[in-house]
Amino acid sequence: MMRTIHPLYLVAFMLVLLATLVWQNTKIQGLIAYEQHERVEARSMAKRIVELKKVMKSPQKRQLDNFLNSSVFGGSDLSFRVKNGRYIINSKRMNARQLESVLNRVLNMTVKVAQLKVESKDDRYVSFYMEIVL
Amino acid sequence: MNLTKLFNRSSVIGLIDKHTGTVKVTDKIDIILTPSYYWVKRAVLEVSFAAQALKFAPSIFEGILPEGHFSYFVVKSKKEYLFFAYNADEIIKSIQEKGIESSQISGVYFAQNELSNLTAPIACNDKDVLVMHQETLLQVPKSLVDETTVKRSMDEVKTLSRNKITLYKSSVTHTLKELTPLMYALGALIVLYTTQLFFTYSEHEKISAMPSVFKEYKLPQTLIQNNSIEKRLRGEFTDQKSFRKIIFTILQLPLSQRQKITTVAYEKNLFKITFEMQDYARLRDVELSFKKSLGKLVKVDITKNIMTVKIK
Repeated sequence: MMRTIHPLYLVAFMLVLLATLVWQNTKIQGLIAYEQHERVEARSMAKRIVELKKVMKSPQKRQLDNFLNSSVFGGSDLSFRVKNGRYIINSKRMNARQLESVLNRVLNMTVKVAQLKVESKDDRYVSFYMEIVL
Repeated sequence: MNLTKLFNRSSVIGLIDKHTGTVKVTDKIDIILTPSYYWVKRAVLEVSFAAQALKFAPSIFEGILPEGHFSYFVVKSKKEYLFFAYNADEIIKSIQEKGIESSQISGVYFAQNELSNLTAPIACNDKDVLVMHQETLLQVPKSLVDETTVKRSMDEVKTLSRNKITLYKSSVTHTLKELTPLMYALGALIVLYTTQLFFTYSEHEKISAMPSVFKEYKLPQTLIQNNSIEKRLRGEFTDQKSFRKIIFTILQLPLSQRQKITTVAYEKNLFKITFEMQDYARLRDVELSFKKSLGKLVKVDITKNIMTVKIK
């Protein structure tokens, strides 16, 4: 029969308490490290997405309109319109200079080309069809 | 001192009195303390268990005990309780002086509990004997009893009761004094870790309360959604990069005067290039040129005059 709390019981209780505190500390520190790592990873991913979005940004319709309205494409029977979220450029008669010009300009823009068809009509002219995702 | 080697026990039983001389113990010993080591009182209490009665012990012995730190022990005896008061430190010191190591002590008992069936006086030192008087074991001078009836051994004691007392100092325990530095150290560590836990918890709460990183960049909230977006954008970017490289390669193709491209068609990552030439076997040179420029980016197939270039 114990007359009072035995010191060894008290020591044992303190050890259990200490072990619990250490365990809790380690557990929460682990959680913090995990969440910080997750945030770093998420930030890195968000930056990559923002960069990719910048690169793959939708073209300015007006920019394309202005370019295709220029005198370079005179006599090329060129038409351009927007249909189902796509900018469609169509020409039935385009010479080499005009073809080079349109390819140079469009391909140097950060646009997503969905479809392209260049077909030789004769030695001088080609037909041109291009769909750009808006 | 009387030592009895019991038949089925590995330890001996020793009746120890304050005046007992040096004791030689080779193995283990169960010590029965004479009344010189303790005070005993009887009381009838309206409680069911000895443990409940224990809290009344200090008041029962109030004004009786000398100066010192006393421990209490209670045994239920029929309708009354037997209260014992003992000075554990004094007992420990006395036992040590008799040459008994704490590791040799198997158990410590009070004579009152172990010799309750005493029929004849039993010698506990050179001058005193133990006698039973009205169910209480008394230590009296030898001169008060008939010396011829005095027993000198404890052969009658075959088994011990369960009323073993706990002394602070034994083979497995330590004094509070010895444990104090350890307790201080543990206490300091507990305070330290509690403080750390508080700060760690606060930090965790702070991190948990922070807005989502994706929200800062105006992106969907979940990682899966963003993974999917990144994968799609990266795929589109790679495809468009390859698309431009292929167009550039087509424009750079080393064609002779009699060779020409009639159609270039692109849709869903697939180029179809139609050539016009007299010897279609020479398309292999064009294929080689493609492979040299674009390497692992494309898969090239040739059927007659049509070359299919698939972006991988």
